[in-house]
Amino acid sequence: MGRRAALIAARLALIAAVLLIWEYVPRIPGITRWAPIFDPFFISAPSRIAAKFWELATTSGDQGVVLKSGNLFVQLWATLWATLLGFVVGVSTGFVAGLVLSQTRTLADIFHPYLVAVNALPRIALVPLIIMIFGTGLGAKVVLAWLIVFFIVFFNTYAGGRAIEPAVLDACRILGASRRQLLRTVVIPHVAGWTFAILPLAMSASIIGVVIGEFVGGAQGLGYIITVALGQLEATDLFVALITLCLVAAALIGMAARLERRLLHWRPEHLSHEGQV
Amino acid sequence: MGTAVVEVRDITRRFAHGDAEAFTALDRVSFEVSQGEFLAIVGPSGCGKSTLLNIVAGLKRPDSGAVLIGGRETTGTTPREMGYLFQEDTVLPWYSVERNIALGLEYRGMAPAEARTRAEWALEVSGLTEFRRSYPHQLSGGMRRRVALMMTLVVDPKILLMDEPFGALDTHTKTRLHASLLEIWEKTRQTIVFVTHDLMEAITLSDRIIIMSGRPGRVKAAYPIRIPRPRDVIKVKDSEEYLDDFREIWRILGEEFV
Repeated sequence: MGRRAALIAARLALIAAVLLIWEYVPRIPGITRWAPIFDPFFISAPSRIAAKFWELATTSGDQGVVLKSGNLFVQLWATLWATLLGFVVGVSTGFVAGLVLSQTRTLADIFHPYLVAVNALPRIALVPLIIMIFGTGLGAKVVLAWLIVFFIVFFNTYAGGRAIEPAVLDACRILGASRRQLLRTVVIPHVAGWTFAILPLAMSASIIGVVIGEFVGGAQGLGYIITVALGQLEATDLFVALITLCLVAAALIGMAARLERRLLHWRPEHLSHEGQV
Repeated sequence: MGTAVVEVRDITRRFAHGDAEAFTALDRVSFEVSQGEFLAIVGPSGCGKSTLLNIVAGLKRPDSGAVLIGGRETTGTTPREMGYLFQEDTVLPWYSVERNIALGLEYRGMAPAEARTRAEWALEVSGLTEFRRSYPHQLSGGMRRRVALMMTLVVDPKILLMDEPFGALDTHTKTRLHASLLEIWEKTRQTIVFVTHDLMEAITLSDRIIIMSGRPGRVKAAYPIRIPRPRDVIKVKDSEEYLDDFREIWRILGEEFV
């Protein structure tokens, strides 16, 4: 058996062990007396979660009520769409702002302290204000995601823009580069490298922003299901939402990581990742 | 020797370090470089040789004195006919070897057909043809230096300034680059100003060596190297002339250590 096959086998064994413990340990008589955590009231059970998942994913029905049949995909789509919008808007605005400020000394000197101050504010504290302004729909979630993603991208891009080796700029200027050519062939590729390198982080930040938005002011989305499930003390619903969110998040972050590798194919560290499981 | 292409007249440059008193990095430095001459500048570290080269290139301004290129004052500006090979790695990592080498031609707006011919020549002469589609991170340090050298040479600069260009390389790689540089230069005959702290390198390559004293940097002596060309960069180190020159310059430099 090759290393890769052994690795996959070990991973499957691990998840199987977790599922078995989760399913059968709570059935041991009297277990909850000394380990209340094993009460299915808190942790449900894999079989029940799977059944609920199947029910929600396959039967259509009543869209108005949270986690009645058929609307898991509606909720999933709401979260996914807001996350992608927050990501795209946050990355593009963060990139442009970071690029412009890193290349314009005066602007940077004016803006920088304020940006640092705003970034220091815990974003969740802004949620009430954002809901007041944007309501409880898609707008509020995207704005929240944007606020988090923007600063992550901005600061990284800005740092990149200020880290260009002066000799490289001088060398290209002496070779005859005009300001525009210098921007196009040196500054933008260099700065974009720093931006691309944090795409996976930006994606996970966008998910955090959207889920916070759904917790607090949402009327839709996986984050909303979680809060409703909490209100009804429905552990099974909670786990369905959590597992769905986990899969969506992993897929999105994986996608961002692929995008990063593709865009930064000229960087050495990505060659060494090739062939890894 | 032919006419002076580069004239450096009475360059003085001071630096202030915070509150400390300003120190003089270069003190009334003057020299000339003739058409097609390979001039090396050696001196202890901190003697201001890199600063001097940056002033000649127009990247820094002197506090007083002037730089004349082809009889025209250019102090503080970089003439188009000048090339500069930096100590730092200036190859752009996001472009292939080929694109990097052709970059100067692209900047200068050379017609594509002509630029292709020129880039082909550069790849060929530097032995980089088979690596043309590689990215810089796939190359060794010596190869990347080769790319940087060809990026500079491809635009055919009449005057080439080199600031410790092979300083970070091992002796073997360095020697191979010396051979390549001399082979190309024998045909193109640019005027070269080559700054280094490696005396062996200076004697192997140059026609004349300017020896600088440290702090403040002054021209201490100019020493002609009469080893005939074309030179074999390996055999030359065994020749009588080489050893005599080495001993003599070492003696002059040695006075700096006392």
